[in-house]
Amino acid sequence: MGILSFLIFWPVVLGLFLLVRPGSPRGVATFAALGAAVEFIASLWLWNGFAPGTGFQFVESVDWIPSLGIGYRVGIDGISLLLVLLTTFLTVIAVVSSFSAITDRQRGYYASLLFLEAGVIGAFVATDVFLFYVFWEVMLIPMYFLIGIWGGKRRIYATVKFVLYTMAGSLLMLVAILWTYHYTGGYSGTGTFNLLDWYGLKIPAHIQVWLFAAFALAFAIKVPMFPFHTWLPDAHVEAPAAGSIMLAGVLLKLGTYGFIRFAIPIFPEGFEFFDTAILVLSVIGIVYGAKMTLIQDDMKSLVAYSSVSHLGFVMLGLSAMNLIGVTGSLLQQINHGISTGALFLLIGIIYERRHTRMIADYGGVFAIAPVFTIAFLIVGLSSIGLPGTNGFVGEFLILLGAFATSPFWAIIGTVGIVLAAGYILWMVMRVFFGPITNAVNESIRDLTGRELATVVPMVILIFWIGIYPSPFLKRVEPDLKKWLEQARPSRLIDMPDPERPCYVLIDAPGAAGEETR
Amino acid sequence: MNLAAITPEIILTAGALFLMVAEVATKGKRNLGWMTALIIALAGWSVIAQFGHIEAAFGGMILSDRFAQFFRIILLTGSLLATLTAAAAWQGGKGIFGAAYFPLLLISIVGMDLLVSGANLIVIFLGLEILSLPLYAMAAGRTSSDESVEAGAKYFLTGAFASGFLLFGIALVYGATGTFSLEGIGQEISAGARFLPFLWVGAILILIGFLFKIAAVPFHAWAPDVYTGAPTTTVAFFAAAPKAAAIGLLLRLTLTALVDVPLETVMWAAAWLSMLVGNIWALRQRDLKRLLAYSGIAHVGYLLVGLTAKGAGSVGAIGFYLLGYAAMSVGAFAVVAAVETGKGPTTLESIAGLGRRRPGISAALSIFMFALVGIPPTVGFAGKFVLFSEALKAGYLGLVIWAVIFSAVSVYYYLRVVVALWMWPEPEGVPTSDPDRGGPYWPVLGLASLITLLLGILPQPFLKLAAESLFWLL
Repeated sequence: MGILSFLIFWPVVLGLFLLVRPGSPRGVATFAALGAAVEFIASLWLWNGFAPGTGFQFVESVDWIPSLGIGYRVGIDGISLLLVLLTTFLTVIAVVSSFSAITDRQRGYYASLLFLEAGVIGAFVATDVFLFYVFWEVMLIPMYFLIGIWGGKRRIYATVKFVLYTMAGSLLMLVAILWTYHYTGGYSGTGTFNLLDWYGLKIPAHIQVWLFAAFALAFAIKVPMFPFHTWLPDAHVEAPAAGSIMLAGVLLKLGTYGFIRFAIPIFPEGFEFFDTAILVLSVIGIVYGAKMTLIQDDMKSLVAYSSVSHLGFVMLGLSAMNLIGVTGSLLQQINHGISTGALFLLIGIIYERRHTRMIADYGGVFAIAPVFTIAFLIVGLSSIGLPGTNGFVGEFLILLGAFATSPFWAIIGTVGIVLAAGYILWMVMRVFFGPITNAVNESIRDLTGRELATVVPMVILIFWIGIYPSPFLKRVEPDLKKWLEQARPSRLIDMPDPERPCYVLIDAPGAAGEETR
Repeated sequence: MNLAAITPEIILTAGALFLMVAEVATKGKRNLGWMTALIIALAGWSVIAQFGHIEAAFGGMILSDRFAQFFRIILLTGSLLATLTAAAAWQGGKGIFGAAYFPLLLISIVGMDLLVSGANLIVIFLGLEILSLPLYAMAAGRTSSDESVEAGAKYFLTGAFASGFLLFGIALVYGATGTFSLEGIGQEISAGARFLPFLWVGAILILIGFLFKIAAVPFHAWAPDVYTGAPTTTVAFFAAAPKAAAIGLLLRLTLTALVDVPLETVMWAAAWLSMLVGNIWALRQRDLKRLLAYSGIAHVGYLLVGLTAKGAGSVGAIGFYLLGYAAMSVGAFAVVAAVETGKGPTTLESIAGLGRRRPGISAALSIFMFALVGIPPTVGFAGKFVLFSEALKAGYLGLVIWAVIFSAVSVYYYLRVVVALWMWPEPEGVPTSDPDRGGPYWPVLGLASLITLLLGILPQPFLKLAAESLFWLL
């Protein structure tokens, strides 16, 4: 069994074991954390052994349902590498952050988190479209339970809405998948679900438009792109903190990943038909999401709408369809996972202490919990995209790329950054500074050791990517370059890519010199 | 006379007679359910032992080919699960039915067997009657309950009505072709039948007769009332096995006898309507049995999608789906039967928060619900996948899109059951009468869950078997 299979099935085994294992709830949590840590350490193997630019690696291929051309095919390239690592990393954080927050039915809770991890990793590494679809659907179930059982007051409404939205989109994608499958088989013999074979298909353009639309709907709901975003604030607000971390951190990435891995390269001409629409909707999402944050009085729904805005940036970079923009888009996915994940984590921590997320209930927290405040400020600034933090690198590359192809929309997109500075800093101001208006808040404890252990790694990553992103960019760029050759629409074919790789643009001159030597 | 062709029928009939004697000997006080299950398993074993041997008997009126054998396995599996449910219900002392319940059940299976192995319209009609008559009695099995008797009467009336359609259709087809033999009818039609209108009307009437049986819209109105009124164990039985038999027969009929008769249009319309009506009405149901009744109508719609497509692959896909459907629907009814041991109603409210107190049966019901929705890794997904895939291959894009739209609608009502189990708060105040922990239900729940998950994760051997068994029918 290869490392990727281990990463998929280890959490499943662990989760099943947790469900039946006797023992105290506390033991369950520790056990889950240890298991998730093992998973994370195992995934670092991918980081070390990864050879950039050599296509799919760590490949495993076993016949699963040969009579339908379905195989258990997994592998990763630069596009999925970082997303897999992000998943294993955030799962550890999510598990550890739940130790004190979850006091009811712990077995099912931690098992759900682990099943979710397995489903998400499976979807990221699948190179068989059927396998991808299976994981894509499977992960709905644990998320559905996480929101529905351990969520807030309107949890049932939120979870049913989440599942209905996702299913509605993905079932039409299923029809498109089936159609393409029969196309590979020429409508008579056995086709194949092997993604690599699908990349080479020459489907007539007018059909590609429909197939792309079916795929894009499923992914756009997951991203979520405006106007398919309405499930997200509900799901985020009602989900438990760890659920929000996983939802924002990795589940939404499956939508953007789906565009990159499936919808765009399989149906490039379909994408060409829709790319202006995607561009415009992304920019609307950026501005709309940012504006909506300004009227939220719940911190979680504020961050949820900021997600809509950030994911708009990711899609904007993607629709630029040049190396800089796409690289930025991929990096921004990681950044969003870290920054927004950390925001939800911190909000979860303060919610545990005060049982409210209303901004108006707070004020002057800095004086009571300075460490917490500093952590929140760093994370908030990275979410804004302050230079030196990860958010800057991603948004900078995205806007650079977008300017090259569609300057007008890129300029409108920058409004999102300005607004982001506004809503984050305004929230920080109202929650952490000013006089202590509510006496109850004086009893808020600062971060405990365990909580620090979850927050600090995220802060480290924020600065690492912000100051020295080239280890990350180096791993993704070569594959994205190849990807662009496959997927770039013809109208942008003459667009020159920069001579030097992106990370040289970002890095200090010294580092660049080291690379060119 | 070649008795090998009817070995399972002989075993079942002998078993039924033996059970009747045993019934009298024990004064109807002993639970004969487990023994009935054993007899069914024995019959199933005899089918598997014979698998692949083609046997014909009674002058070609009964044909035990791979097709018949495969469908026998499906309906014996469904019957076995339903019998285990009934045995468990007897054990738990709830839903006590008349003493003749188990022999009746076996006789009904004989009818189903004849239906899928019949190669002659007369045998088919006999099979249908042998199948139906015990079911009427079983629907009215709980004689102390007015609803049960009403259900039996309703089922009987509509059943008789359907038989009338069927008989009239058979007469017309006979008139047009001059033979009862399926093979002969096929040859006559290929050679150019003279009385085309008779033939077409006859074929459509036969089809309608069976659409009544499988509760396809617009011939479905009896199903919800009968499902609600009849004892749950009976419903578990006739939810899956007779459907498998009737659909198996329709496959053989349309592919070997009524070739070139445009029945697709009728099936296509019934598929559209069944998916629409079944799924939309299920949205409003709060009673589990009624909900499952409408869900059954919707699933008949999905199966009709495969029947409409009528290709080599779709025959295998239908067989595979029926096997999976038997496991998930009988499993769901078994849970309902277990819930009934709490002496409460079987509404969504009565299972509120059950996940906390009875995690075992709640987990089982959740698996079946996810399977009925069609979420991987259950057989519900694999089955829908192959079914829709074949329909798309045959060019029915609109029908497939319609089907997935209503699959998405169905998410709501199936998941509401799961919501009630795990997410609704437990009722306060009045101590609810909890169902048993599941005890005697574990054989059926375990087996049904196993099939549901195994066929979903590793469908290849079964798909291959289905394709090989059914392919050469064409």
